[in-house]
Amino acid sequence: MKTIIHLDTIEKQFAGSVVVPPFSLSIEEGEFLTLLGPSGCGKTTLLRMIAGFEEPTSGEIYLDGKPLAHVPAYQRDMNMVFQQYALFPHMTVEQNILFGLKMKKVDGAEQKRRLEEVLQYVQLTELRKRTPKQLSGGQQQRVAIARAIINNPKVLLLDEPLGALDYQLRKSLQLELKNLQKNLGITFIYVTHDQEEAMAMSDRIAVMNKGRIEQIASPAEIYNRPQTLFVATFIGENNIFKAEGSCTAVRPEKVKLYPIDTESDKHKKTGRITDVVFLGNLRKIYIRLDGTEMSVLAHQYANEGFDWQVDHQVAIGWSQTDEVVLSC
Amino acid sequence: MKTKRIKLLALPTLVWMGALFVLPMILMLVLSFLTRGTYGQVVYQFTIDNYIRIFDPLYGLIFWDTLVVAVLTTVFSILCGYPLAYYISRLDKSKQQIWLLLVMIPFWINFLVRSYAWVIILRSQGVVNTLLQWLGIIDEPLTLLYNSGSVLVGMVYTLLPFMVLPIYVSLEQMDHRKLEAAYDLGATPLKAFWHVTLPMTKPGVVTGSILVFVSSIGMFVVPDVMGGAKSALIGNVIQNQFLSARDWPFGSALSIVLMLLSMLLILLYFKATQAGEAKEGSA
Repeated sequence: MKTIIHLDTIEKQFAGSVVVPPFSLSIEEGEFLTLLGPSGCGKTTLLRMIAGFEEPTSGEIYLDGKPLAHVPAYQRDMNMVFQQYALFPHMTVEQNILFGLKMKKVDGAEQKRRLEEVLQYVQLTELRKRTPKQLSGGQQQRVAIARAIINNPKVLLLDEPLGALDYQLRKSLQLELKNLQKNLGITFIYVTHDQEEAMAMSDRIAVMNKGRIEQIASPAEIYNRPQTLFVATFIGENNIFKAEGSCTAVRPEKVKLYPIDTESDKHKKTGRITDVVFLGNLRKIYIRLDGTEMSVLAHQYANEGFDWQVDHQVAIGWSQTDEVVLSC
Repeated sequence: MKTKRIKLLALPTLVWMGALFVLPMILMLVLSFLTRGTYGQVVYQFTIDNYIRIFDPLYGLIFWDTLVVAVLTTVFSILCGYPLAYYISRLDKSKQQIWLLLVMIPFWINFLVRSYAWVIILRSQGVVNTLLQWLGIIDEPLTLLYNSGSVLVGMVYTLLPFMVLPIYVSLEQMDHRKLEAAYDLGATPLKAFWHVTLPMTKPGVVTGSILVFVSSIGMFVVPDVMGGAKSALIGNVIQNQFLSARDWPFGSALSIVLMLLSMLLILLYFKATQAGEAKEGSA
């Protein structure tokens, strides 16, 4: 695999305060990398530095081996899908999509050929003469993607591209985007605060917090083997047991519940059920541990185990291999 | 019930406009078909002579001059106003307030006083000529005043805020990300301005143009003070008919024609800018 983007100890400060502390990162060609983190974690700033809208305070960004420091945004061989799409309201779908090729003075026949191809790809052929105002959110989103990919960029940057859409549409577009990326083979750098989205689409996820990258790994690795307390609690739900100097994280679906007097060797702790939340395929059971203020969450799937009710006394346990030990 | 009460809110304006604007307009329309008596009084006798008189080449020429000055004023106001509005929109918010204040300050000073200030600057013993002579750049004072050039200078100066403010507003409302999108797609700053900023702020330019054009077409103080006797515009002619010549019927007819003409031109302008949009839309 070839490195397409390399960030070399880049740092960003705004008015003297550090927004992104220095770090390095390599992104491989054809990879789907997600920058995931809560709002204000610096993920959008990072994306904008790669696009060329912000300048790193120090460090260097390389695209395909070439430093980008003195390359303005309009000369970088990558394109961006903006958060609210930023379509040009005074142009039709077609004119929006062709804008990049026109700016680069690609010849007319070639423009036409690529336009037809892209229009078909994003299924906008019928809507080509409309203006953005006459399109639904999902259709506008397709225009934004078409406008970017028609330029055959080396890297596509996506800044929360599904953020403005409703839940159902977001779900189906996640799959579409993932397929698009696979078929085109373009490197995607995708910014989102939605962990589910990140999980569903990414090859690798970089979890960011306060400007730092806490962990960068595959979705499964991030979920099963979080390296920091932040990652363990930000991604999915987790039970954190604090002991001297270290924390132990156990996922709720790994927590098993038993009647109080069976197989006592498997029991780790005992407690009383305080809440049972029914979610269809899943029940969330909250247990207050005996003698502490601590609450433990256990997930129970349908037809699994006992019909637990509030106020039942339970014993809980989990297997050693499901423990993740973190420093905290 | 509710909408009825809401309608009451429009009542003061309706009464005011009805009594002080619509009624006089109707009066003027009636007046324009009446006859002037020997001593300047209005004789209640129907005639269309007033309108026929307007087709006299003399008045045609003045109408034409007026249109030329109005169009030029509008064009120069765009050329001066757009860059200024653009500059202001790029400043920090606090500095923007100061600049906008500077743009509006002339409004607080009496119009006539401001026009005479220009006379002091431009006349043959005025500020500009004295300075140039003192520097030895010229020997004889230049005639900077009392020609169509000085009228244009005065008009643009007077009406510039009407152009700057609407353009500034449309620049302010523009979503900055659209510009970033243009850069991202390979547009240089100049191309991004031409293809994105300018078309997106067109409504501001159109509004400003109409405000400036309409105001300049009826303007009579500036040509009066700065243009001298030679460059009378239609506003001056109308003023003369009412005040000196005491020919109210003819003055009314001129006013009506001027009004219809400017309405027609604005309509055409609107159609033209709208058509431009439609053409861009389907290309």
